[in-house]
Formats: sequence, C-alpha cells, structure tokens
Amino acid sequence: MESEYFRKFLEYKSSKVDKKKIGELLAWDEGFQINRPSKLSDFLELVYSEKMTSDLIVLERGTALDLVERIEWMEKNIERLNKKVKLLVVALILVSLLAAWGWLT
Amino acid sequence: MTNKREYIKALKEEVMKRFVGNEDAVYVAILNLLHKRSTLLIRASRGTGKSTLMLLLLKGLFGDDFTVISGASEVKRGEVIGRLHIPSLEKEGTERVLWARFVQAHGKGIDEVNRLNPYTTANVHHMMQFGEVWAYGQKSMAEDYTLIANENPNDLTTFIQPPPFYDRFDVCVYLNSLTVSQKFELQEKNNNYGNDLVNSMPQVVSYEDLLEIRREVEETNLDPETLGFINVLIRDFQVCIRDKEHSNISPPVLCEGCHFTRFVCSSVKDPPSERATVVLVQLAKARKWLEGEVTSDDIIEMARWALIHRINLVRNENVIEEIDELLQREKERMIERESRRQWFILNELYTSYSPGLYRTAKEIAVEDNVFAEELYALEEKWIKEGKLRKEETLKATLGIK
Repeated sequence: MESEYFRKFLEYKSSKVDKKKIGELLAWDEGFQINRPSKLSDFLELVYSEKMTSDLIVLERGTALDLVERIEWMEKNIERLNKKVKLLVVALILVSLLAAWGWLT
Repeated sequence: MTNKREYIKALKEEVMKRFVGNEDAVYVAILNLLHKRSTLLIRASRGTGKSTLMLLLLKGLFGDDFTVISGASEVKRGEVIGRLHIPSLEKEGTERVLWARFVQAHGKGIDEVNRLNPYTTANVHHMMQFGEVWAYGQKSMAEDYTLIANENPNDLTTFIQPPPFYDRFDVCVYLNSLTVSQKFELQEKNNNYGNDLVNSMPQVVSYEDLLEIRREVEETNLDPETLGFINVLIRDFQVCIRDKEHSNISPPVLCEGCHFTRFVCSSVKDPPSERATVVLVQLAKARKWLEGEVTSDDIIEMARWALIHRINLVRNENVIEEIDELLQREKERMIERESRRQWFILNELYTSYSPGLYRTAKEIAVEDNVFAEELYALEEKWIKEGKLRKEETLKATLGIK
C-alpha cells in the first residue's frame, strides 16, 4: 500500500524540479549546478555555451594571457590585412584607370 | 520565563557552566530530553564525567526529586522495582506491592548500567519497552519519565547486556577526556562552585513545564524533505540486496561480488532498528522547536548519536571515526541523488507508467539500492497490470529472486 507521506515526499521533491512537457516527452533540468563550488561561470562557458548559468564570469590567468596573445595576433593580422586591402584598392583604381583609358582611345 | 525555549537554553547554559568540553554531546543529550520517555546512555572511560553529566541533567530537570541506582552495587529487586508489603500478607493474606522509588520517580538514573545483574536489566528493559513494571504478578504503569544511564564499555563486567537492551536507549553519547586547557577550566569551575559542581546545579525546568515542552515538541511538524532525508539516511544503513537481516553470513563475506559494495551497506554488519528513525525524527523536531529550523547537516550530526549503539560495523577499531566517515559518504550520496532527480522520476512513474522514464529509473537503480527497492515495488504493480513482463524487470536484470 502506498503511504500518503511517501507520496507527499515524492511530490515535494518533484515540485522542486524545473520540468517541461513537450508533446509526449518530458524534459527536466538535471541540476548539475548542485556540484558546482560557486555560482561563477567559466569564461569558456561564455564562449561556447548558449546559456549562461550566472552573471559573473571567472577568468583564469592562463586563459587571460591566451586571450591577450590572441588579441595581439589578431591586431597584427588586421594591420597586415588592412595594408593588403589598401594596396588592392590602389591596384584596382590603377587597373580601372588603365581600362578606362584603353576604352576611350 | 514565558518562552519555554529559554528554559532549555538556560538548562544547557547551567550544565555547561559546570561541565567542560563535549559540547556537541551535551547539546544532543539536551535535545533528547525533549520528548516523552526520554532515555540517554552516556559512554566514557573512567573519570571523564559521565556520572557528573548524568546528575547535572537530572538535577536541572528534577531538582532533588530523582532516583539513581548503581549497577556497581548489588541492587535487589525491592530497590529497583518493588517489594511485598509484609503486614498485608500477614494480616489479610493479600499480596500488596510497595513500588520502589525508582519506578515512581520521573527522573531515573542508572550508574554503570553494564554492571546491572540480568534480572534488574530485564525489568528495566521491560519498563523501557512497554512503560510498565511487574512484580509479584502485579503491574504498575510508569508515567512519563527521563532515564539517564552511563557506562564505561571498557570495564570488565560480570554480565554482558544484550544488544536489544541498548537499542532501547534513544541516543548514546561518547565523552572525551580533557585537554590541558580544559583541565584548567575544570579546576576554575570547581573553585567557582566550592568543589561541588553537582549540588550547585539549580533546577531550571519544572516538571509541568517539561511536560508542556514535550507536548509542543511532539506537535512540531517536519517538512516532507526533512522526513525523507531521515528515512533515506537510515534505510541506507539497513538496506542489503542480499538480505543480511536474514542471512547467516555477514559482511564483508556476504558482500563478495555484490554490485553495491562501494556503499555504506557493505560497512554495516548489523543494521540499525527502526528506533533509529523514530529517535532521529524526535531529535529533528526538538531541534526545530528550539532553534526554529533543522537542516540536513544537523540531521547528519545528530545521526551519529542515534546510530552508534545500534549498529555493528565491519571495521570497528574506532567506532566514532568510522561512523563519521560513513555519514560523510552519505552526505555526498544525498547530493548525487538530488542531481539525478530520482525522486522526481519515481513520482512521475507513480503517476503513470512510461517505458522511457522506466529505462532511466532502471539506470538510476543500478546506482542506488534504496531507490531500486522502491522501483521493485512499482514493477510488481506493473506486472500485475500487464504493463511489464517479469523478464524485463530490474530484478531480472540484476538476477535478484
């Protein structure tokens, strides 16, 4: 025989779970955050996850240095690419001028 | 004092003014006083204050109106239970029993309980079990009482008391010897109270107030979460997939090859009785009544004293250390259970059978023998309803008959 108290316990536990019914399927939050030491999010979580678990983001020194290095590399690349773009624009203008001159004469 | 909680806080304060160290043990001993027919066992080595603590608690509750019997002396039935009234027998030929003060007293103490003779033990055991005593074919009902006993388990005794007798004690607290600074503290306290710590102890709570407090504690409600935590915790110490309760073989031999060896069950030779659950509920109610709340950490802390004299462990070199380690493991296991959402899944299965959810529940059951037991019960029901075949069940998968 089912105990009323036991059912109350199960219902109480159930009421604490974030669940959703999608058609025939039942989805629920697995609650992995319980094992987390704090409510802080990792930086990589911010980069790769669509959903963040908190408003605070923790950045490790190693990740921060990686990030700085990557930004510097990207800035150098942007500078180099900017120069290339400028040369290509000049080349394009020269080619356009030559083509126009040839068409006119 | 209008607030009855203040009486209990004052009782603890007065005891701690005269007693050094072991504060957690004193606290749980006081919580245990807050329910009807409270019984407490104090275990400690010689001269570590077990008799002092017993007397301080009895004096705090009953003033001088309590009775202590000593197991170390040869106590007779007449002193503990009752004796025949000889004039009635001689003049009228009727057997009238004069009940002993120990039976009638609201406050009862037994010094060195492990030295009681089997006859006295049997009478005290019966009183603790049924709330009554018998002598010369007559019965006397024991009213609400408080029984505090002490013993040094390392002392050689004439008789070994049976485990069911110890099981009747609600909690058993262990006392430690004093550190250097605590010895100074004790000398200071002795000086402050004229070297008479026990006799200086005032009665803090009247008997009527104690009854009222016990009624209030009894009426205190625990939420389903707390009740569930207690029930699951005790079940973890009892459960055995190989039915150790009815087996002639005990762990660790019984556990060889068992899937659940990493759990607490494999460390327990003799599981605790249901009294452990009852006592833990009473302690949780008392704590909620006194402090306004009771957390799962509080229950883990109190469980140590409700289990220690009720179970027999595989490793028993240091029972307190071992039980603390097992309770710590239990704490982690409860967190795992939370993260698996297993009770939510069971609740859904109770509402309706779903093959997908049942598969998930089976996976969980392989990790939790207490959850598995509940799933077996549902499986039985589904088999009867034709929703499940016997070969598909978890029992069949695990090869359990």
